[in-house]
Amino acid sequence: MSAGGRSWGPVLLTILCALATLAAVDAALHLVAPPKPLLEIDQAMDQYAAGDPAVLALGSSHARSFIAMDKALSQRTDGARRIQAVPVEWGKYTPYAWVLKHRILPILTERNASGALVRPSLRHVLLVTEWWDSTALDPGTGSITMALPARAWQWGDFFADLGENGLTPYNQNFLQRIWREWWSVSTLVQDRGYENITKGLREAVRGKDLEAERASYDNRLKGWQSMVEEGAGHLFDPAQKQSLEEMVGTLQGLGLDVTIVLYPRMPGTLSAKAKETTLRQFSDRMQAFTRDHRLRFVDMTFTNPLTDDDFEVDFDHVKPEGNRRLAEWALDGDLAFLAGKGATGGAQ
Amino acid sequence: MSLVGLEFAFFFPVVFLVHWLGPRRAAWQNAVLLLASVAFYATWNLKLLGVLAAATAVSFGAGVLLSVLGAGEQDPVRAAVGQRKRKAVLVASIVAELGLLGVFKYAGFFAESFNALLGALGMPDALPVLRLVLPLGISYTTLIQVGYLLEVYWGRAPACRDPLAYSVFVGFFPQLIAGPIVRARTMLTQYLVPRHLAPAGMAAGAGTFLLGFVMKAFVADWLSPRVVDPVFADPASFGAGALWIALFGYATQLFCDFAGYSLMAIGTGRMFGLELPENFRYPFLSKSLAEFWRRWHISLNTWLFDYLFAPLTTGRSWFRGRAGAGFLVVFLVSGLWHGATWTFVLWGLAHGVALAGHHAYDEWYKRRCRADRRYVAWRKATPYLLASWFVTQAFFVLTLIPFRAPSIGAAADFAKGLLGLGGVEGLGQRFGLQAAACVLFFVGFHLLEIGPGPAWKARFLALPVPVRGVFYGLVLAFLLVYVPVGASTFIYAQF
Repeated sequence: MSAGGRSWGPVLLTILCALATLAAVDAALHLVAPPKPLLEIDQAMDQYAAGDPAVLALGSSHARSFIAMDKALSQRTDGARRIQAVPVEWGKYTPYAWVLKHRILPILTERNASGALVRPSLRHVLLVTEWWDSTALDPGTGSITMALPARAWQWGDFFADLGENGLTPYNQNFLQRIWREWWSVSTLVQDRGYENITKGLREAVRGKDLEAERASYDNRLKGWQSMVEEGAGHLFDPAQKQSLEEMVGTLQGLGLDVTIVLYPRMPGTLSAKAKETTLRQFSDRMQAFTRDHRLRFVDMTFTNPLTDDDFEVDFDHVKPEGNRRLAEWALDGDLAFLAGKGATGGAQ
Repeated sequence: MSLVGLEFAFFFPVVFLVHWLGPRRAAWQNAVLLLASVAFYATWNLKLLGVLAAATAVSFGAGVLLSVLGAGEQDPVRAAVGQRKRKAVLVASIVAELGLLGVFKYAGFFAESFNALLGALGMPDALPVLRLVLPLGISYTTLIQVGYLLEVYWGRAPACRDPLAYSVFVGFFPQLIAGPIVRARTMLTQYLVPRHLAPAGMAAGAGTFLLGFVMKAFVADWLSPRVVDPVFADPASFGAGALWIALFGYATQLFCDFAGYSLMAIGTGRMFGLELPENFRYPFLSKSLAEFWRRWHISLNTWLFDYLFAPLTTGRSWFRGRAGAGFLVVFLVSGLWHGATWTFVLWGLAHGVALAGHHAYDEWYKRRCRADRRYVAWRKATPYLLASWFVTQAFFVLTLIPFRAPSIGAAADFAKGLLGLGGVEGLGQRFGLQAAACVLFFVGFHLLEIGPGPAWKARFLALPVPVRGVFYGLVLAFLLVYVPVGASTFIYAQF
């Protein structure tokens, strides 16, 4: 980059042209793979602080389905009742508990000068979960590198961890999140790790390779199914269970009505073995847990209005239209109480 | 922290701004760089920072003592006493520096080897095998400090009296992990004066960093998990074709990894107004092993030749005038420096023997040239040059087998496989378009240095500034799309 010489002009011009090119390429790639902004914890906390919702939906990325439910509930109650989704990406119970303790409770229990709660509306908490959330952090190793209270951290949390452990793959998640937040409009940044740009460009040049797509689908399905089937041996890891109990205890201690919601699974991906072992066992044990702790229990694992077409290619998340149908269906059924029937308590 | 990691994108701008926005004084600039280097090191292991600090304090103190003892002494008796004291300080400080390296890097290896020897003789283990965490960059910082002490002792460089400048000289963060191994005469002097932010330096720094980033993050990091690692992990399963591709892939990866890191370090240095030494000069163009080692890891090899080979072959020991034996010692040390395993010893031995052989051949050929001038012409002819190039490169690539293999047995399996005596598995989808792009980059990088290459480079640099800006923008966009995601480590950081 020999633009130097003795003057800054050429250097600055080079940088400007490079940045302009980068921005132009980025804008063009929006057509191939537009970035999909996702609700993260920071934004969810800001919304919570500003909105004082009646319902809190805490869970992994699945909690984002409750953004659609918020709209549906708001319509049904003329805006009187709102749901705040708090998605902990890749989360399990220990990260949920961390988020509850360090991010949600300070807002939930904030009081004004006269001692009254600043946000007194919260009545219900939905803990949105599935079997994977209850397993050890990385089954077999107990370590965790990809996840993710780090996504809920603030700079202070990051530096504290950095001081204690040095730079680790775990706390690097925080930097990743910040970086993605800063460049939220950039396709080039948001697509890192997803490869939608290369896929889109390949398809634009060569057309869709249906055979390869099918093979990839079958391959992923096989891996997905064996992961779910093997999950039975890892359910309710002691550390995760303890975090779940702590969360429930904290929320009940605040006088909140807690519901455990088992998130829908994509029907076409469920082998008979998975249904009979991992999913059945998880549902039964979670139902027993809710009975013991006097919680509501809503199991959508198999019982829901969704078809395979309503799920994203990752087999795990529901598409926007599916989320809308799921919301209407749930608010007509097991979650009808969110509209105000049978509401009790409130944060104390 | 790594120069190629996302964390560096947070770290560098902060250090850069604090460094240049503060007072234009050497003390301020050195303080900022020292603080940044400490933070850089601490992100890896705060506790082991003490080892580096202690080693730096010892070499700094020893340097000052070396400059004070016997200085300006007129009386010959006192001067001789002063000289003896200087020698004692030099030996003690070098023993301390190398002792630290020995304990952390070699104690386990020697204990294991000794126990194995006893085992072969039917005796029980006699030494406990220590498994210590190797302090980051200790192999590099030790050589920097030993080199400094020798230079001061020989009077080739003045002792540094500024602890701040000296600490940055030893531990400047871009060079901390994997060099270049800096010298007092060229680097220390730069830290003693204020640096200025110049457009040319900044542009050259950014360009060098970008080139290094492409080599490391695009080429090396792409080849490693897809082409190299799977084959070296299980060479017995793969067919000869896959093994040859993996071996050439490893040569490419190793070069791009290390040369890429060096360029990023040099580029970062330039952006702080500092000129770190060149570490690679197109080694794959070399037509002899001696030339290869003048172009590959230049800072290590010049160190070894200046501080080991030269004193050895020009001193008063048996080695005097025996260059072949000197090569053997230098490359055995180089092998051990790379790692405390028998595979590295084997690698060093192979190169030592080859260099000694080449030296003997060269001497013989020169005698022939003096006797018959046709030999001079033959040596300059294209077939001779091509054959020399091929033999040199083939030898280097083949010796990468023990360099990369986890054990001598695995290296033997790999070598057998190259002859078609192994498995049958191919690389399949692993060797795709992107691998071809990596190879193309690697070949193109070297070709730009020969024939019409330099003229093309000059023509590119003469293009209007906006055109070059657009080019750099496209390179950045390409990198954002194609550089593999994930934390990557530098191969030479482990040495």
